[in-house]
Amino acid sequence: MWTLAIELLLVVSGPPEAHSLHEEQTIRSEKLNFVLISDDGRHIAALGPGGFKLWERNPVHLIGTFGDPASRANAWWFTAWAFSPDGKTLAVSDVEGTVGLYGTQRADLARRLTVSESSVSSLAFSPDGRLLGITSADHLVRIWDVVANRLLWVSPGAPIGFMRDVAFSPDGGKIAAVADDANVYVWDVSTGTLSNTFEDTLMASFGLAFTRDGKHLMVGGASSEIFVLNLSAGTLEQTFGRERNVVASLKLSPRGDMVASRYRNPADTAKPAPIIVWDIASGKAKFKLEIPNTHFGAVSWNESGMFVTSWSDGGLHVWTVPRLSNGGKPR
Amino acid sequence: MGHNHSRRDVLQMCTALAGLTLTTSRSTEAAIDLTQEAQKKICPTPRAVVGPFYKKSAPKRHVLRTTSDPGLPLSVNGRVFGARGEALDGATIEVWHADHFGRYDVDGYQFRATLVAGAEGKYGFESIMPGHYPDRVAQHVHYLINARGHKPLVTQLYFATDQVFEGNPGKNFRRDPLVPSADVVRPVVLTGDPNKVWAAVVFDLCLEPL
Repeated sequence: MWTLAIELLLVVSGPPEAHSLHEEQTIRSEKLNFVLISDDGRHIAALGPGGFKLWERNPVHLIGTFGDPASRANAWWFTAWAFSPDGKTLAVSDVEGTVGLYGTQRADLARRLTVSESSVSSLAFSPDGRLLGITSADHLVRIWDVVANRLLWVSPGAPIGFMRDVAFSPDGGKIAAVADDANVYVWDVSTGTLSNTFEDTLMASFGLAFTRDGKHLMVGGASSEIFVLNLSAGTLEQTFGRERNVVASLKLSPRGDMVASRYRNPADTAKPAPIIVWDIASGKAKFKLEIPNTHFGAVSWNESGMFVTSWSDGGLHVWTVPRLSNGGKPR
Repeated sequence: MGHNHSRRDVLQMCTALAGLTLTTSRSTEAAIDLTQEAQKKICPTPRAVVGPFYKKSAPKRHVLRTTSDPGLPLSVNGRVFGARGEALDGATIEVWHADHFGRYDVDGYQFRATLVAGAEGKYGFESIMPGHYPDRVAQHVHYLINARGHKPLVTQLYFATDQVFEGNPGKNFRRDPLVPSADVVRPVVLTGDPNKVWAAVVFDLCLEPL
């Protein structure tokens, strides 16, 4: 059984600029496969052999368990997950192409969407929480209206590539996906038409984030770099962020002036890899955050600070970084 | 195995050795012919995922290995054809794989190449046997093939000698969930002489029309 305990630790990061990680919460548990955290930092969800478990973070309180612990839930059964922007819903997809929408108040299943005959590969809520963007192994993109409970459109995705991440623009008007064919695709949400295909990147991107004004898209992946794409010009505008590890995900700061890139060691995913916070305007690394001996989970970032989840044999960990200030203007 | 064996003998021994054939260079051609004949019926070639380490613009070359690269030398040959059996001369074939230690080169183009099918749709390249990539079960070579009038084909070549198949790829290919079919697990012919052994594999590719 999973048991809970809380520990508080102070950790210091390394260069480019030392930055304190203020607190670590450890929730002891059985073996884990992934840990994510809501944007508001209030909820933590962890995937383990018995399915998902959901906690209130502060104070730590187990809300419930869901999934199918009796037979099917394991490391590969669940494929993607996302909290809604208000933190009230957790969407979890599986290899059978369904998406479960769980309420975070009681970890109850509100609805199950039958989306695709193929495994779902990535999920993202629109900023208003009304729409769910879904990519799947059939290389298609779907927009689901979760309020009206209907499929809005299906659009061809990457012709030959598996899509690993998807994101809405801040105004909800665009949705973008990155694919293993090394291209980046952008669609108009209202019409489902493909508005941009970026072919300038040589290797696949695994993470993406729009800038706050929605005019640029940042992507990063196998090449270890971060590319800033100009949506109106359709061009690659800036490249920064060479690291030894691959970029696993990107997270925009609440002010929109910085982006946090979470890295992953391509040769050994169990080895620690850093989070680097980049100043978008200059392309310079501002902070480097290192968490030893744990698998990175997810990053959330709001006005009160950055939350980073990770897991190890000892359980799941939540690291909080105090408010990061750049002094610059948002893009 | 000697070079005077019949084609049937070679095929039977391939089966008995679970896809591994030991041969002198003179019989290599016969063994390759056999595996090629056996594979012609598989159309279209089963698809596999692109994977996260595809890199565009790989150089056009057919020798991917250097003398200093560790690993068993590997020679892959085959043909590209359409659903009616027509040779697809001029098809482009992009291949990429991990090094002997299971690492992909993301900085440059080591073990990456773009090939162009020649007369009768023939292609070939010289490399090394890939290592086991940590996140994958089986050794493999990635393929992306484009030919005019045909759907792009993404597939992967696997090796019957891979220990994960325990000598029976037909039964055990699902041990790697990304292997779509035993048809893409190909027999390996070990050839050369005791001082210079290399692995020879035939992998034909069949594309669907648009």
